[in-house]
Amino acid sequence: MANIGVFVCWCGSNIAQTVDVVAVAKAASEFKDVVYSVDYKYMCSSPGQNMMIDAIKQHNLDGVVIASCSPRMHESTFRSAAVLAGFNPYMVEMANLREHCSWVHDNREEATKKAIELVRMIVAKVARNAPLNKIYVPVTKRALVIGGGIAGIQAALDIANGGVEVIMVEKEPSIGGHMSQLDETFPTLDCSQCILTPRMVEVATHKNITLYAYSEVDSVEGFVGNFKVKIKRKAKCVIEELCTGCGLCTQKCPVGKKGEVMNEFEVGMAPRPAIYIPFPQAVPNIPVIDRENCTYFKTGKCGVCAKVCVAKAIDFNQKDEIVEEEVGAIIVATGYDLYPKDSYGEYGYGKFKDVISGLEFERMVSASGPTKGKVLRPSNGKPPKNVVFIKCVGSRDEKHGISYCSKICCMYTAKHAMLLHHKCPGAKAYIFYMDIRATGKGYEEFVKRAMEEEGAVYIRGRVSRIYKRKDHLVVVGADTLTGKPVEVEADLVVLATAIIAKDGADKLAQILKISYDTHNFYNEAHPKLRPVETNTAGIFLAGCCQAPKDIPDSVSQGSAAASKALALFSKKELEREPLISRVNEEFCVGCLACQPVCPYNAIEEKEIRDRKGNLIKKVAHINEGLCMGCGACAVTCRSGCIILEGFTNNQIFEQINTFENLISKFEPTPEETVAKK
Amino acid sequence: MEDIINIARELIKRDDIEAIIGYEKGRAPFQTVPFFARTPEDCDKLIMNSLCVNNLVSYINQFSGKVAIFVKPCDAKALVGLLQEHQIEREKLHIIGINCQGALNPKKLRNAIKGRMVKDWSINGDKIKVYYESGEEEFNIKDFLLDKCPACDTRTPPIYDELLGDEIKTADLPELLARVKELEKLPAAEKQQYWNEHFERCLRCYACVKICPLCYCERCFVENASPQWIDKSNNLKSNKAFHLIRAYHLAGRCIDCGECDRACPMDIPLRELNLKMRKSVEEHFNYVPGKDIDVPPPLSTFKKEDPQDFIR
Repeated sequence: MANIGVFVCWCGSNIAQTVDVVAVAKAASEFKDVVYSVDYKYMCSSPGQNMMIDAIKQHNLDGVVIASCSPRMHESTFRSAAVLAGFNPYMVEMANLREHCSWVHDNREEATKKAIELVRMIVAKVARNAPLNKIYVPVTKRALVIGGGIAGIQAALDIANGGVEVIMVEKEPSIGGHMSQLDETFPTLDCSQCILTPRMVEVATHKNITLYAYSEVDSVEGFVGNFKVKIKRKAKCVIEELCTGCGLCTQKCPVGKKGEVMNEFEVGMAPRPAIYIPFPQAVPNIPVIDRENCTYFKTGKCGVCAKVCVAKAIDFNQKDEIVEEEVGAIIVATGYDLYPKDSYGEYGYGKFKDVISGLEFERMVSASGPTKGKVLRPSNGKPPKNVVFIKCVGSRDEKHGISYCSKICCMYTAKHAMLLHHKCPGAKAYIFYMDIRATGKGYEEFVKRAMEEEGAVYIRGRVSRIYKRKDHLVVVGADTLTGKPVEVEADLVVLATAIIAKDGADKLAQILKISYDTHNFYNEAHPKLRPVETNTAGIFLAGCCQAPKDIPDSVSQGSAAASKALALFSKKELEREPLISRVNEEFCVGCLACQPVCPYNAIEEKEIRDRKGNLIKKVAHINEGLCMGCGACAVTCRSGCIILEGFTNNQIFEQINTFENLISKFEPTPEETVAKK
Repeated sequence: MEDIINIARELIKRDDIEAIIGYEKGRAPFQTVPFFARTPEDCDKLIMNSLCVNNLVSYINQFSGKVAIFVKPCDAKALVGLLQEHQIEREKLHIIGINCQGALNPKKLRNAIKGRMVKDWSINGDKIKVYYESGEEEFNIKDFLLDKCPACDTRTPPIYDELLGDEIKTADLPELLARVKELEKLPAAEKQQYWNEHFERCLRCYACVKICPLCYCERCFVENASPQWIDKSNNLKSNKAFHLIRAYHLAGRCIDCGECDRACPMDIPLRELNLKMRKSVEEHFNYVPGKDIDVPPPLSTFKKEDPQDFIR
């Protein structure tokens, strides 16, 4: 028979104001199996915890019920305290008198009644608890970083500098991400390439980093500390070990001369050959053959690159290759895409040559860009006089676009206005905005500088239409501050398009088994307290794959994710909660209905054989390292062969039964209810 | 008949086939019983006609080696379910498909002969001939079909290695769910009363569990003692819980072979419960169990785009 102690917490006045805690403690003392019951002002305080520890020893308790707040809040507090008393922590359970009772009711009498019943149910459950022991799993001390943008680079370098091996996978031929496309960065206007390129080179040369560029994650199996990752290395058709990066092949390639293939890095503003390096500072500095556009692959004739390559590094027969790596932690830093610019027909993108996106403007002002840093009108190659910037293209537009704020557009538009002022003296910037959001360090000052010192004209209001008048674009909008319609005759229009999740973000999430929101951004485990962790242990987030953010934030997140990974690697073995599912192999019929419902791929088929090796039967088997204890399998199992430790059928059944026995005294039976109707 | 005996004799000669599962004539009038042929001589006893009502798939796992089995569409649908649920290994099966135009209900026939002693019976085409001590009588098979048969749209097994005859297409069938829709229209109280009257008569003999090809658990929930989900004694409350939980366990899985109906000694219309579940699953997930082995059962799959409008 159990000796259970009940500890009723006042939570200051949080519980005590609505629930008569003294009455609850008194009622609990009369419950079956309860040998000790007490109330206290703050159970979570040090004296409160000591009360529990003392009572466990004095009254020889084998079960404890803390009637206080949500287990999400303090379960771990009390379980840790129990360990100090030499008590199995899983014999401690919480009855939630705060979130489930005092906070949601105002009738003191009724709330007290309910509190008593909540405690009664948990006492019934604890009486059926079994002591559990932590599970230990080994850790592979290697990390995988998916995505080689600034967030991924930061995370990889931090981990590698911590002495742990890193595998970096980048989809594109070069690392660098969107940051490598930028010219100068807000709010200090330092050159993006100048601060990024050394980091990229460091990744490539770091002894602890293995870089797989032009590669994608194909599959991920396993669990925290023990992931098995398959990486697809797309065929570059260039032998990396032989290529010297001289670039002769890219110069001689006949493709792209007429602009039939456009460079993705230049946002389609400049052509590129079929064998190419996306930009001069690319890391690794090894070209790839774009097989879709290569004449050799299309017609079987050409092979100019192979002929000119002194190092004999061209190999047309190269095939995509799968490499397998074992890692202990994964950092996802896959970045973002931009809102399709042509979705706003009224702004004329695609119709008018002189309507461009912010990223196109960024390439234009870049010294290494297609116009060598000159702001020129795409229609006639002349410098513009009036430039209109439109903010929130897609962002904060629930009807046509997306509901959220893309966070960086206010700042980069102010920067664009400044750059225009610097690079195209005499040109005037008009900025149509909804609000100005400049919340970072030095951000407000930066916007102010754009307005006051660099002559940017801010007009509060949305643009309704852009049309062509002779050689100009007429931007029609409203100034909502004066309430008057505005018309600007512009030579160039720049759209600040919204940040959206990377194309295929959902597919990668499914491979990783992490959750994502309705916009396909990855979900953090807790918006405030666990911002870089996912709900899947051992997988962390950095940068824009989680939500739009600027460079400083992406870098901080990269470092934060790295520190999480390093903390994980600092242990020899990982400790895991034993609250996981187990299969009763005696009765399992191996229907494996549990397998497809498991969100963590933790269930596999196991063969049971006799001593001679003859197959007796096949059953479901749960991988301790993978199971997160969600219980989906337990409810799917028709014969009840799967139990969730800590929430066994017996425990829950008794909990409900205790409640049911009580309500059946005054509630009509379902038959009676029907008869009444 | 010649056909199946010849097929069976050929198959049993093969080294890899341990037995052939089929039917032989039973001793009682209008009775056929499951039969396992292990030698060529055994094969001569095999029969196949519209009184071969039992679902044979439950016997497959009694053999450790490979077996050949004669399957009607109903049996084949159960096979699909069992294969999907990893209960049978496909490599250990040779499936001989038999087309079906409806199976006879032996109970109805026994009522029709009004207590006369039956010496023998034979089936020829769509007629069944009954020989009495003196005289004989002929009945139209279609007047004595099992309830499940007239509306059945599966006349050719959905899975087989070889098929006797050609595939049969169906047209102009009566509505399968007509009875369910009728019951749905009843007011709650009447529905309650309807099922209470049936469940009150339940003996808890578990014949429905034993005969169901998809009730293969080694330990049924009714046998569980810790916790004891439902009362083991025979009373309305626990009888009702038993049948409802069983219906839920078969939701999205019941292939409508109607064996529970046939086996129930108290004539509880269990098939109506299962058809109601079939209707719901079809409405929500556009899925009919037993039709296609490659379509995963919806209630044990997780898809992001699953409808969620039933969660409010």
